[in-house]
Amino acid sequence: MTTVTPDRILKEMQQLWIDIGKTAMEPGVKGEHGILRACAMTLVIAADEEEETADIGETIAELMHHHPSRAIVLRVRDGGDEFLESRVYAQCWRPFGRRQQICCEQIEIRSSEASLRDIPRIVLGLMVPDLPVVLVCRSALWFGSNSFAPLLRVANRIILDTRRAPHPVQTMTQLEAAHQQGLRVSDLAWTAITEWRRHIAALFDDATLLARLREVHHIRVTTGSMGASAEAWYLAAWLQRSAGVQAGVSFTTGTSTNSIHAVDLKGDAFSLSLQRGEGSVLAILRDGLAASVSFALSSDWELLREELSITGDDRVYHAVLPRAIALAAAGR
Amino acid sequence: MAEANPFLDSLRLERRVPPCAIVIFGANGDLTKRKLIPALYRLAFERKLPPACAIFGNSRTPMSDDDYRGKMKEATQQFLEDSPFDEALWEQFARNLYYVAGDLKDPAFYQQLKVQLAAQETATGGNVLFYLSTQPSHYEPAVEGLGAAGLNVGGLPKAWRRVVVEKPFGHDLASARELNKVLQSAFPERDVYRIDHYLGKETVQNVLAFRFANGIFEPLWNRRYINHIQITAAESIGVEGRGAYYQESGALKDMIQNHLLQVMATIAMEPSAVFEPTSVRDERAKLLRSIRIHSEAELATHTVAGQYGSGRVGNADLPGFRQEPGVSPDAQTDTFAAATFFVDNWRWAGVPFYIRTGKRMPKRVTDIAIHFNAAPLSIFERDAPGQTARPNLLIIRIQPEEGISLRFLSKNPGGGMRLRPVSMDFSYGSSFGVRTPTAYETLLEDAMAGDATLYTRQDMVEASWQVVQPISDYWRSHYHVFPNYEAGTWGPQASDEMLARRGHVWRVP
Repeated sequence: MTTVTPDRILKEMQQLWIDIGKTAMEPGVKGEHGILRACAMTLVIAADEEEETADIGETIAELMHHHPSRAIVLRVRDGGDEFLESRVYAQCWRPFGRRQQICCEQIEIRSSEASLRDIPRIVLGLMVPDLPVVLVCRSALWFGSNSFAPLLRVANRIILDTRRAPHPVQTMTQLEAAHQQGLRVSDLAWTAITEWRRHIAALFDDATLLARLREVHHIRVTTGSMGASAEAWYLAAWLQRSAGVQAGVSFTTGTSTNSIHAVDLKGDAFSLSLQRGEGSVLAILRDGLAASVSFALSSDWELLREELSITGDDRVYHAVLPRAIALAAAGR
Repeated sequence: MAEANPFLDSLRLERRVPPCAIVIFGANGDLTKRKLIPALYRLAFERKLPPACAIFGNSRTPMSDDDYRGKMKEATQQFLEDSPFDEALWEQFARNLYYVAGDLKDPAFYQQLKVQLAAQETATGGNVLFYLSTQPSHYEPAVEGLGAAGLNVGGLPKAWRRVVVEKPFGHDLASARELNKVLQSAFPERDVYRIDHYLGKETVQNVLAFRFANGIFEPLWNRRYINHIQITAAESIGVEGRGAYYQESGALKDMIQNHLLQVMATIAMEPSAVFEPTSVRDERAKLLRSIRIHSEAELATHTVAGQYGSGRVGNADLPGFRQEPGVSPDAQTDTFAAATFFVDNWRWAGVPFYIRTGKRMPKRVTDIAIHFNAAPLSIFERDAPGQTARPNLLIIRIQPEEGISLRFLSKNPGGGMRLRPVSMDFSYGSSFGVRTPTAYETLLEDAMAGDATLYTRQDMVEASWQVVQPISDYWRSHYHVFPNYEAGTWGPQASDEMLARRGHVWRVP
């Protein structure tokens, strides 16, 4: 097994940049106008071995345009044997209309479960000084692992995805506990409901509708065929909190493949319904009047891009999280 | 006070532009083709344009909606900046693009426009943004026509009507005041948006972030540490067929009166208490009012007018201004203007602000150079005399490559204490990797959203004219021996001499 140390990886990276620079300056080469090395953060992505390398690579490549970073991809496979290896490479792209290429560096570290304990020290040595460190746990298992604790402590942001967690309520509870300990955590399941929130907020820009908000006494979220999920709990909790009314909440399981199919706000003489249609259409029914708007679908990388753009504390999320856990725990 | 929407979340949910219609007067003109329609199309691409936003173009030429759409499509394909053209999106965008032919002096035109706007009212909520992209002589009839037809007031409850005015805001102080009077006869000042596209540029906005979001620069931002400031806005092109117009305007009025004094105000203003339109604009206005008005004696030494003559750049022979089509052979127009300004307040007392702008200069560049005072003692002089004479320099580049650089001295590798200046660079393009919106995208979105922070206000326009008018009068009352600089150079000798009097030199951008 080759020795994997931060020094060795950094040396390889230095050589990589020299090679890229030389290639880029060769006459007639596509990148003849040179390259720019860009970095605004250290982005650590912890993934399972089963995850497609291509999927992660694609996500990082798309993210680089908006959040250039030193990306460190960690992949762990099952096994008691010690195994650790690394490789370095660069992602380059040419912004539209520009001659110069922009390049970001990427490090992939693969390990077995037995070698997991060695990873934090390697990553600590590879972090770009003075810039934020964002840790993305594609698998919730990483978040709960003791071996991973040193990395959680140095990360400025920790991003999880409870949509992928086998026990989402447990993971949400862990997130709340981490937040109470002062860690800045967020959940892509929360990010995934931004589009729903955008449409609902837009509707209540209408002062007439806003004035009737206090009439609402029931909120119903219709989920897809998979049943209630973190997204549904978050959305219901957010609606309940934002509306500022003592509205009851219920979840209904529908037949669609979307995680959230519809939202209904009900009052005695008030009714507002938003329902996902085919593709990217959202049907809005307000007091019997129907309208359709476009509902933007976000890919994984777009959700991550949105989350990385948030530099401050997401107070709305942290206010909603305990309420969402309570709704989930109540089994509603 | 209206109840706030509890579902809003400024952290994630972008500011929403309310539904509205946009009416562009001068819809067949260069500005519309090069800037406005491409900017609106790009806003649609970014999903920032409200759904069903109806855009009406007006000019006198008879044309069908489809002909107009075809023309605008061609223009958008040609002038869209740093962005690919999406055919499907254009089709969607063009469906809401209409054309209304009509003479701005004809009351019947406004009635026709009223009918068209009313037909869209369900979708637009009765909100209308009028954009005056015409010749300035048409501002008055357009505003009066809108007022007389009642188009300046929305018919539906809470509907707004706003008017965007392009520069020039008058050709002198009196005409600027007159224009303000005309505009305010139909629209209250809060609904008048005077556009200065320089303020919409990312780097100009970034000056505010740079100054007021970083703790380390503001303590240095005063007469104790800053020696002088240079603002350069150079164009490599000539008048490009606009000779007749430019002959009446000149560099001083075309650039300094509006763009460059606004840039200077952004660089020198005091921090506002909050980042909201009135507060920021109050500080800008205060700064403009603090610029010392030149005395008769100072006008001769603190200002320089120039005009380019013929020259050779590369292997191309370039004509002088007086040889340009439409220009009088003895024109006294300034194609170059430079001035030294002082700000009479405690922060800036005694610090010269040098501003220069010109056509047919060696390259197209706009930047601000902040020259800091040199180190009080040069301890490295013994090894290499004179090497520490270069003070720190902070460069804020506005165009073409937006960014910020800091120049400082560093030791040369190897033996001996030899120093050389090095530069620490921040480039928008590489640091964020994504396209920055054009100034018109930013400003149009702001106007639709009712955010006037980056627009100039009546008092700011008048304060700028108070500063520029004496220079303009002085230049007009003197005969200039023009041309006094060759095309492809950095301007007349007198401009260098203006700085040399204080021991300063123009930086080569």
